[in-house]
Amino acid sequence: MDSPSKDALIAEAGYLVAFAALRVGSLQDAEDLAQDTLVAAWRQRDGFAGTSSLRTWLTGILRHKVIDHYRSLRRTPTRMAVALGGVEGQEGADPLDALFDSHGSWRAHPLAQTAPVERASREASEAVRHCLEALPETWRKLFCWRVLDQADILDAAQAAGVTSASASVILVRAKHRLRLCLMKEGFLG
Amino acid sequence: MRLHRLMAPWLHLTGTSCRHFIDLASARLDRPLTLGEALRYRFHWVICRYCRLAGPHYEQILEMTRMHGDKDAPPLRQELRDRFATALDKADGK
Repeated sequence: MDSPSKDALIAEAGYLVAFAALRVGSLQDAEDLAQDTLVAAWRQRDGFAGTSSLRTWLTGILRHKVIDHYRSLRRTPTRMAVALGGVEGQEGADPLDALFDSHGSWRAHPLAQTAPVERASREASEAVRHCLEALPETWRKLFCWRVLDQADILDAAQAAGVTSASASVILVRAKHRLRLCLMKEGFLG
Repeated sequence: MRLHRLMAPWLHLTGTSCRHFIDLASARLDRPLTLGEALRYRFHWVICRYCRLAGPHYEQILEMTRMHGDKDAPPLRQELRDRFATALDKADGK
């Protein structure tokens, strides 16, 4: 298997930046991580066996870089607090509170307010990214680690910098907010 | 729905309200529910047609996220492309 060329690596850079941005929240950090990944891949290019796609290989390297990024944030508590935007990723009042009355019944069920429509795959893709980006940063990181990277809940919690107990609560809220967002965009019915 | 409203305080006390249900509908995608949770989930599923859609919706959200979450990256800015090319050239020199 030929080792990848510089052009082939750079052709994947846009994907790597988007991948990292979704997980670290900061575009600048995402670009730095993508650059580190490309440099590491270029140095190890002879190790690319070609058994998986170039994108898969690069994503594997980037995933480790993102984890290292979080480890370094944890070693500097001030940066971690800024990155998380609040204690344990709670990020303000529970958004579900506004949806239910004091007995836990719907004030107005979301289905009564939206109607699903036929949408193209590209629109679905844009809506998913829009709704993911609208999540509070810690929620998005946790959700991405759990769902896109299929990390178990302990690893996902560690990567997002929250306890596993908080992670369960955050995942419930994140899924619900995504549900409301995608319903509003007309994708669930 | 009127019956549901009348039952609301009791549902709340027994952990079978709409809010409890959506928590359980989400949690069951992350972990197996305990027997008590599964019974409360099933009970609410039977009595509330609105909430019945929460489980399929959450499954659909996970599927849509996996399908679309990492796709359609925006094109790379020329300035960034140049920066990456320079970084690779420098890596050659070491």
